[in-house]
Amino acid sequence: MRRPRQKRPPVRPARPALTAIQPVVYVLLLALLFASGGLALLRAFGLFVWLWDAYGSVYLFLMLGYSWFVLILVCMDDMRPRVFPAYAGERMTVLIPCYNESPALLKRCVKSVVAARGNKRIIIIDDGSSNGVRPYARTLAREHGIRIHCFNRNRGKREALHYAVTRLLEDEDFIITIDSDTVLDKDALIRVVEPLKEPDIAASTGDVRLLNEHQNLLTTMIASYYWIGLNVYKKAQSALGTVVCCSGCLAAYRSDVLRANIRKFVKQEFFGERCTHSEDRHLTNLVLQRDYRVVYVPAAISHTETPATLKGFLKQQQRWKRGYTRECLYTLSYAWRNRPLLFLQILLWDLTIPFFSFGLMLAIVGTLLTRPWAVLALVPSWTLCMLVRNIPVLFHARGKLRGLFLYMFFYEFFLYWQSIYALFTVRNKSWITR
Amino acid sequence: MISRPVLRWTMSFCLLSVYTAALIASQSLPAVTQATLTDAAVVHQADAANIRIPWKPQEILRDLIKRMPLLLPILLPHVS
Repeated sequence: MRRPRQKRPPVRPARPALTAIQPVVYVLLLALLFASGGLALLRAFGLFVWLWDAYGSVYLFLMLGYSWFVLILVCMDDMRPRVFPAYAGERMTVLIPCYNESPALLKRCVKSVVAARGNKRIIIIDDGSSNGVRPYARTLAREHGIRIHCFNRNRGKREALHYAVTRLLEDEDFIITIDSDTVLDKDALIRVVEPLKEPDIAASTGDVRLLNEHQNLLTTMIASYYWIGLNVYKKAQSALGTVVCCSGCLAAYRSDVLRANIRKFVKQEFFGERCTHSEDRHLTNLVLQRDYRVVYVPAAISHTETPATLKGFLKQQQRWKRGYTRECLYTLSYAWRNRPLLFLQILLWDLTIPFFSFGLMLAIVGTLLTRPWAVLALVPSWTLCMLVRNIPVLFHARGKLRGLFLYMFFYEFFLYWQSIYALFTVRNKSWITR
Repeated sequence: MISRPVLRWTMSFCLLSVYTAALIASQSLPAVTQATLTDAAVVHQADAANIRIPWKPQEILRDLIKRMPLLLPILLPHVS
């Protein structure tokens, strides 16, 4: 049923970015890292003990402040959940960029999108796949009346989205992007676009669950990490309308806002290098930069598979962490004008804490190397801290506790150090997993 | 009648308050400062503060109960 297009106000202009902030903060982060590491070394020789104490206190209060900040926001969101206007047949297009996807996963993805409710059109963009999935995608497209466009060579997800938005769209209200291995719930599409009917919201994202959660201990742990990331941290950001990343698994944008951003999106550079990865986070940044709100919708549920091997997961994380640092720096360049709380959150916590805590982490490693039994002394307090900081798990997802416990160690011994490595390789644009 | 969400969040903030108070208390005790932010983080350095650290598992467990609040500040789990 064709519905008359609703008149919308013109797209808001982007807030000018103060790009000089990026190199300045980057240098400050390096300085923070070396200062905190240096302090740990000095303390080991009994020097500047008072400074080490002060450093520890600052770190402690930053952590406490962040815990309070996050839990207050999640509480606000829980106690007064925002009700969005109901979906009423607005037109939407689902974009599925695909590169060397397994035919079975692509089929599962397409079938779930076809079955999902909503007045939708589906477009597959094959980004130069070389694994034989292309003919399979063409067959699927023919069977389900889906439009497909194929690149002759691999050009990257940004180029695929750019091509689709500039050449293949019609007059839809909303554009939804999903990964080619995402499986959607029946109501995922209509739930994720409902917030976009409000004039101040231009992007939204949904819950991501793992299809292979119970495959092994690693995937159990990753499922807990996803749950916390979405239902504690993303929920807290959503209370302020500043979700910083509409996940590639399921993200919805108002079409006029996406069109206005797409050129800038495809041309993004960082320290002179063309950016390829973390496109979902950058697209979200561009929406926030235009003074729109970005929200998280727990009822819009998608499913995906996570790497089930340590090597695969670490590679994925490495890519994400590089994008995380780069995009945090980008956020700072505009948020100081229009999103003061987001600016403080990124500056004081998201960026500062991992690098500020480097000295403490070195100290712990030193301890564990010389006295491995000390880990026993740390476990109960780590556990308590983890539980206090992620209290909603106790009430809503006790089944995730085992995975969270594993994640606690995994973070300290692997993921933390990846953040540090990512700081030094932030310009690296390789896809790694490809 | 208190609703379940209100009860949950009241409990949550009580827990967070107790946790915060424990951390702040550990900061305000100069005699044990080194045993918290320095020597608990760098446990082997506790010798410098004349605090004997037990290294047998059963001693550690017994000691943990006493030292629990003092160990809190070194907790480092982050979710990024």
